[in-house]
Amino acid sequence: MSSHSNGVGFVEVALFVAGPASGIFVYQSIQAKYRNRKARYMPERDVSRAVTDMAITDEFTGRATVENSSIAGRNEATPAVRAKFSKVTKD
Amino acid sequence: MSTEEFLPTGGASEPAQTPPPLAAAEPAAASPLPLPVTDPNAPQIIATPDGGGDGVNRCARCGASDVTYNAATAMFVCGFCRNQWQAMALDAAMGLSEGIDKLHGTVMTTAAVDIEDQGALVTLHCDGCGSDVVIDTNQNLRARCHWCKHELSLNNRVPNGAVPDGILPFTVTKEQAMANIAAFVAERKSFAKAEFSTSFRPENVMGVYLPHMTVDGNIAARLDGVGEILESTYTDSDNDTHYRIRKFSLMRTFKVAIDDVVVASSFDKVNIRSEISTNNIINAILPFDVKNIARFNSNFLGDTYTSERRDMDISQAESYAGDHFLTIARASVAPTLGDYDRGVRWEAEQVQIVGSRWTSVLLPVWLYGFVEQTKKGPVTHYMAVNGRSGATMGSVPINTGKAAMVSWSVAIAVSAVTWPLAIIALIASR
Repeated sequence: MSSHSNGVGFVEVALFVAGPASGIFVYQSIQAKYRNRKARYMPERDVSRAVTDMAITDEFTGRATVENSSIAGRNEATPAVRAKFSKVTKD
Repeated sequence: MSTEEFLPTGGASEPAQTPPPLAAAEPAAASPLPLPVTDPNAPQIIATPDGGGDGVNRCARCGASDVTYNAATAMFVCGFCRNQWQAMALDAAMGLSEGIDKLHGTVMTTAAVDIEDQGALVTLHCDGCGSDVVIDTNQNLRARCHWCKHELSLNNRVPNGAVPDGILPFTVTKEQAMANIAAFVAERKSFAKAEFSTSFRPENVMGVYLPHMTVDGNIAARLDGVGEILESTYTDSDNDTHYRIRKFSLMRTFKVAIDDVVVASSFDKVNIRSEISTNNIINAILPFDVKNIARFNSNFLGDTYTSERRDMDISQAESYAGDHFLTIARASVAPTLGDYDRGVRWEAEQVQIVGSRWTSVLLPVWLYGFVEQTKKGPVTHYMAVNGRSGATMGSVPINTGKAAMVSWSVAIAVSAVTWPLAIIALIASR
């Protein structure tokens, strides 16, 4: 078993959680299929656009060692979810 | 991370542009209302071509007013002499796909101007017999004169916003819509609420023209965020994985010309996160082929369809369009992020609307509604079919007791297998 020498290991925790998690998964799957709460218009996919004058500035800020497999708060694939700071102005 | 005032170069300093010239468009000479523009800072209004006048619309060949729209041929047909003619394509007539990157300020078409009067009743003078006929514009935009039986139509802008610039006629038939909705519900029978299942009658689906605005946007955008690139990984003695990464500060500035974002223009439908109505369902059957929108003519409505009146002005719909612009801006930079294999976190997103162009339109939706009584109050569930593409979406009320029971059963069944294994593993590890 893959466990820490003096505590409850990942496999044990996973086995305990598997039952309740599967129940929650089934309930949420039913909600998603019947209610479609996340269904929405997708202008990012459906609206034609022409992008011009793209200026790209990428500055290296440092190296680090982390334990997460991807960046915290990753949101480049969810364009409809607003960023922490969001603003629309009129000219 | 910089979140200072957004000042991308470009857009703001561009000189004001006049709207594109009307292609084959005549001034709205028959419009019953003047559209005074005296303030130089006021929105620019581009005239929608003449809608054929209000009141009795006669066949050009025989003068009869019994005109219907044939969706199969996309032609109007005179019920008396069978003369046929085509509706005017609004996009081509008004050049609505042109000059988006030159838009400056707010530009709107004739029927997209602010609502001046919330009264739903409009009186039309029948020039067949001289009597006055009242139309309830909350429900329809045409009526039959009760004296001489002429068809009377509202085709040009009225103060209450009921008459749009354009309309996209239904091409999906009621039979197709019924089949789509029935198939959608058939896939969701197991956990549907009993009241819904017993009362479900697909033949009750209604063809409704819902008010929307199509919006072109000339925007400047700026995004600020953080991106990470993976250099290497290693696993420590506890079997935990560590990731050596390089971090970058990202900024993107760019311009986007956006062609035809669609925004609902009735307060009832515009909020897709409503607690009392599943408006997101109607929202989800977009897009429509808005390039095929025709100049509005109430003969499109016929006897089969109803229409809903616009009750929002551009100033009230702007925030929704702005939200779509932000979404499009975020999606537009995706091709520039290829190196960031650990992903990007956008922390600030800003859009400056240099110019926008608004057109009031009616879009065709087959709609089925069911009101569920919940502890928090009634919730309206919609099933909707796009009247052009047939795209179908719906919200089916759930028998939550049954869904919970099945979920608990699955949880207990899985736990009955995994918990003894977990206990054995726990004992073995000590």
